[in-house]
Amino acid sequence: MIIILTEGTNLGTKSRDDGRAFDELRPLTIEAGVLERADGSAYLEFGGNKVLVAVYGPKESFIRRFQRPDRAYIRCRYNMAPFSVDDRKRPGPDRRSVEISKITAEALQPAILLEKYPRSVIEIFIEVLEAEGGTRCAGITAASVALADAGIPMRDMVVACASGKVNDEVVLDLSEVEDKDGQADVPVAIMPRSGKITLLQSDGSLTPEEFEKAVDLAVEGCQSISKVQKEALKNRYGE
Amino acid sequence: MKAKSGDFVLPGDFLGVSEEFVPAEGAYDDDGDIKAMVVGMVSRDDKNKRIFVVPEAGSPPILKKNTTILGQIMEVRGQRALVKIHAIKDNPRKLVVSFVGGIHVSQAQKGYLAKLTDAFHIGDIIEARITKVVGLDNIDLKTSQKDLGVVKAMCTRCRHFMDQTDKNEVTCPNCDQKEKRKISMNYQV
Repeated sequence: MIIILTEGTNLGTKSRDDGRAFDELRPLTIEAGVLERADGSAYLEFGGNKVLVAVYGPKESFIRRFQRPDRAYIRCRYNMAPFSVDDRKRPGPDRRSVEISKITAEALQPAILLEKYPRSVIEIFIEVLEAEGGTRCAGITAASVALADAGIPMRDMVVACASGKVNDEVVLDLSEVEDKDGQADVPVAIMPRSGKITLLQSDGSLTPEEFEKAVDLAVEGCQSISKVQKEALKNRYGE
Repeated sequence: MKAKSGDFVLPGDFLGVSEEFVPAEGAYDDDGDIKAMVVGMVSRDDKNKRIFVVPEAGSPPILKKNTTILGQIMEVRGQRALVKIHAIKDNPRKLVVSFVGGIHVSQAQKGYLAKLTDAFHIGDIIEARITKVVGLDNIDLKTSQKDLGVVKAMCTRCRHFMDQTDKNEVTCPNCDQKEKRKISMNYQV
């Protein structure tokens, strides 16, 4: 048996502060159908993140400007609990949560067969109970499970995962410290079966090669998370 | 890999190709590939070449023939009473959009009914069964069964809810007004 030792690359090395390899995800658990009164719900723990998602609808939109004559409208609310971070967060929507609500709705939109429910609204509530970096990706992943739990027709599930650059190295799934001290952050959401990207953001500086590597790494991470999503729905509804 | 009957699938899972199956409920055609669109179990109808997914998770309520609904009388015209459909009976999930259905005078009760106002008045809460759905907004209803009809009547004079005093009669406890209705056996006192 020949073993090739590679030096200079970060393959399999434990180079990160929390001891993870460059392509290693934090521990992930998802549970579907946790809220009795919601049409669909999911609870997700991803490293130190704890996210609860509730989905209601499709139902009649009482806000008439949200009604679309040919399709349903997705109304998404991402909210961080005041106790979810070390320093108390001022409750209510802020610039960041309004942006994340918008991009979450846009990341989920291509997967949902909205044209089946004209004039209605699908409401998604994402509550971050504990935050430790990567909450937008955790929110999208959990929201997708909650939508499936609500029985809403979808083209595919949506999975999200971030990659980034820390200490001049492209790594998968940034923690809070890596997110703050790192050089770049690339959250990616995909539809895992078709491989289509539904969300791609990039914050920080990356070379074109590094960016490509970061996207590839994030897509790989998404594929692993997709298996946990499937397992969560299997556990809920059984085989 | 082709899906077999009884397989557990998620949205987006491949079921087959359009040359072998027609996608039925819970499945869709994605450029020639038949895929699942809900969480559930695959069911193949090899005789009719149809493949569908039986949803395991609850699905948004759909109005179809023989569904019992709860609604409120909006208007009583000469031959037709208009009903705002609020919910499907025994289904806690909200309707996707509010629908308006109609009850023709011949479908209100068994036997001859001279005027539709002898069966319904504006504001009555009724249980009715769907007889026909055409398009999104054209729903025909009937109440010509014992378990169908008015479950809560409103007094036309003072708008109080009324008590049942006879088979086809209700009385207002507030103003003693007596009115006729097609009353369901499930009338709420």
